[in-house]
Amino acid sequence: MQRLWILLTLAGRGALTSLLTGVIFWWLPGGSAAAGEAPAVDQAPMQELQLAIAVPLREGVRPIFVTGERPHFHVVLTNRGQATVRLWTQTCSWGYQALRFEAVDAAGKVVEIGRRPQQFLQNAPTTYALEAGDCVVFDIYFAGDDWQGFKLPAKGQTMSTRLRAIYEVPADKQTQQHNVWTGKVESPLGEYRFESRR
Amino acid sequence: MKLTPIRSLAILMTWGLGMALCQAALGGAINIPVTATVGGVPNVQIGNINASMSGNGSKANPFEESGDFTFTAPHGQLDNCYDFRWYQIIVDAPEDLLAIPEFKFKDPGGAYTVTPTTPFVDPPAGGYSYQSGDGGADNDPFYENTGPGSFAFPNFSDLHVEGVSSHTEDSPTPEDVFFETYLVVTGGDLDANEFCVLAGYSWNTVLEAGELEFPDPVQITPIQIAHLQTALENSGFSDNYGNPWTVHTDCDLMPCPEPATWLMLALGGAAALVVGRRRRTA
Repeated sequence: MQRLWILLTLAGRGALTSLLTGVIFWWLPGGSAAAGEAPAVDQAPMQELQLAIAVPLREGVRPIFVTGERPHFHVVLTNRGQATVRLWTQTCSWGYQALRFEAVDAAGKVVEIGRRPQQFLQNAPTTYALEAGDCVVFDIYFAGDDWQGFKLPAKGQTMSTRLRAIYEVPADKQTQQHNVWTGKVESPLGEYRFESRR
Repeated sequence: MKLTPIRSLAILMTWGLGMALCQAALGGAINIPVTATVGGVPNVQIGNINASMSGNGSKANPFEESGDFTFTAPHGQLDNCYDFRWYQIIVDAPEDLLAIPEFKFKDPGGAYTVTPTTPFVDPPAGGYSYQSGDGGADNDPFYENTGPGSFAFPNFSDLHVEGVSSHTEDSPTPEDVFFETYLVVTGGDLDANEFCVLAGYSWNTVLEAGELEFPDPVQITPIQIAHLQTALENSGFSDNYGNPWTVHTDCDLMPCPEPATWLMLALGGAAALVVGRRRRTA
């Protein structure tokens, strides 16, 4: 009888230990994943992509020149993680509007800036791979009709704008099927000065 | 809110109507037997096309068309000599849609200045202007790119299983566009810049009261072939571009045993020769 009591006590302690271990694992970062669930092989966590508006400081400002035939600046998306990520190409309808901007005025009002809506004829979900450490550079031809919402200065003038770039891909059947990265990544909100030299 | 019998009935009716509308937008699928003349024998069924059309109403891909050609055994062996490709044309579309900058074709100088004229090949030689930033398209008239190389749309090798099947798909965004998609054969004993039409189906992105039509088989007639030739000439596949292609029908496909079968035949022949010589010597 005494042995049975000891066995039951140990079994009870075992259950309590399991419960406590479970709670600790649940609290640990990433511990909420079901036991035995393998992480996606080709999918980096959202924060492992880094987005930047590639306009460096010059004389204390970040100038974007409105000059030449097709004035533009660059946005760089870098894979800072260890795993390869797969992204939609920009010439298919799934990836065409993945990149967008937000302009924030002095009052904090946010204005959305996006690529103009486009039609597609030959169109299928197509992807490219961004290996660990790789980056992709987007040309932003802000002064033409490729983009809607950029406010530009008058000829010979300058205009300062607080901007952030956003790269976002919502999850759907196709992202799952093609193992495409999903989530949202933003560049830091920075002040840029559009300078018209036309 | 209290769920009274009348409210329950109303909810059920709304759900039923919603489901009916969804069903209406879903389109459908058809099966087309593919016949050809093989080794002088006409009307040999070499496979089937399963073509489907659906619409999910999403912004990125409101319409989805797909076609799958599957060989009927033992005709997969034809794939040893020939390539079974897709050829897609646009037969009608609103004029203002075709005038938009992203649909411009390349001119003979390589600039995207040409406004499409129906019927035209989808995609035209070099692709549409919207595809140019991602490798455009190749200079072959087939829907998928021949490869190797990287283009805006996948290559033939990504959509084809040798001796088994060929796949095509499209998710055009504009409404009111009429397409025809054909299974064609190229290579083998055909000239370098010609292909032969085997079967085809028409489909469109017209929404009549939220409803999509099923794909419909196309009869391959001499008039239809002339129509396909016009599409080639309207799309940069002509002498003007130094890239002339011709389309045919009623091709006689030669049987193509697998390389292993050829090897067995050659070995058998060699063995017969050796035995014959030995007998003569004896």
